[in-house]
Amino acid sequence: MAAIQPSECSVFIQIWVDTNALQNGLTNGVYLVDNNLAHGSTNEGTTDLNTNLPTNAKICWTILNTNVNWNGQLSIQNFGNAGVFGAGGTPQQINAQTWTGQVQENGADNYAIYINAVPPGGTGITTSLNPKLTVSS
Amino acid sequence: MNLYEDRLVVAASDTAELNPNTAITIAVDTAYVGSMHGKKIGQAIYMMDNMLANGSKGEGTLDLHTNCNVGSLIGWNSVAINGEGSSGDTVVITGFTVSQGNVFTAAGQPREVPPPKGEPAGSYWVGQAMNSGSQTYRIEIKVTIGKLHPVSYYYTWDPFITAS
Repeated sequence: MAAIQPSECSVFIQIWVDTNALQNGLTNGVYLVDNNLAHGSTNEGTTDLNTNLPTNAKICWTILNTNVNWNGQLSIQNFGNAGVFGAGGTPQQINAQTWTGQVQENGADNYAIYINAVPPGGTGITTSLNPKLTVSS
Repeated sequence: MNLYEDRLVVAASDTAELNPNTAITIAVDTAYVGSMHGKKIGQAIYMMDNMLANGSKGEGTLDLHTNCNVGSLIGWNSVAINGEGSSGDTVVITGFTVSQGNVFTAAGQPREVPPPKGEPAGSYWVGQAMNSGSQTYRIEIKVTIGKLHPVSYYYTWDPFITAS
């Protein structure tokens, strides 16, 4: 199945990374926000974001640096599975920073996102996040 | 004709040397803003910086308190959370004022500079922490919803900065 294009998505989740914090050994410099506060999303601006969205909504995840001038490489490496993605909604990669998927089943599930930051001339730092999707019709 | 070509004064690029080491992002849930139809909002705007390791607090909220070094250039970048989509929503910064304190001074007052690639004019401003101490400053942003019949809303709020 062809990957969902970001232009088809109605729900957007941004993963903002303070790579300066990561490079200093802190693990809490990651902030998730979405565009669904009006539909009941909670814990905006934290790694515990709970995105509330309707069945079959298409989602676009993007990873970004809080420092727009940082010249290292940030990427989403992969996603863990979750029941709400159903049989055909598992997130797929669009490019290193952008993935898309669809919630095809109702329910509430945490899901893993694996992200990687490579500072200029440095080695990669990989960390995982565990936000939540709450899906209802 | 130039009589003294070797004496020509050419304006330098605005941003050639501007690479702020303190960076602040303002991410806006434009869908929520649109749903409020111009009413006052106290949420749906999220500020995050790259200074957590330097003691910044209030990350991911309107009440970001950035801790930076004296002399540091500070960059503010505003974005729409649905910027990857097809809505055409935009968020730009329209101004800064100082509510309390004197960290920027006149010399460090933020000004608009050319935006990052693909972002609208006004989405990137740079200032400088000229003095040590704490300051409350006011940001004003313009949120524009839609492309065909765009509607714009203006919001202000007061985050904090401490330079040491």
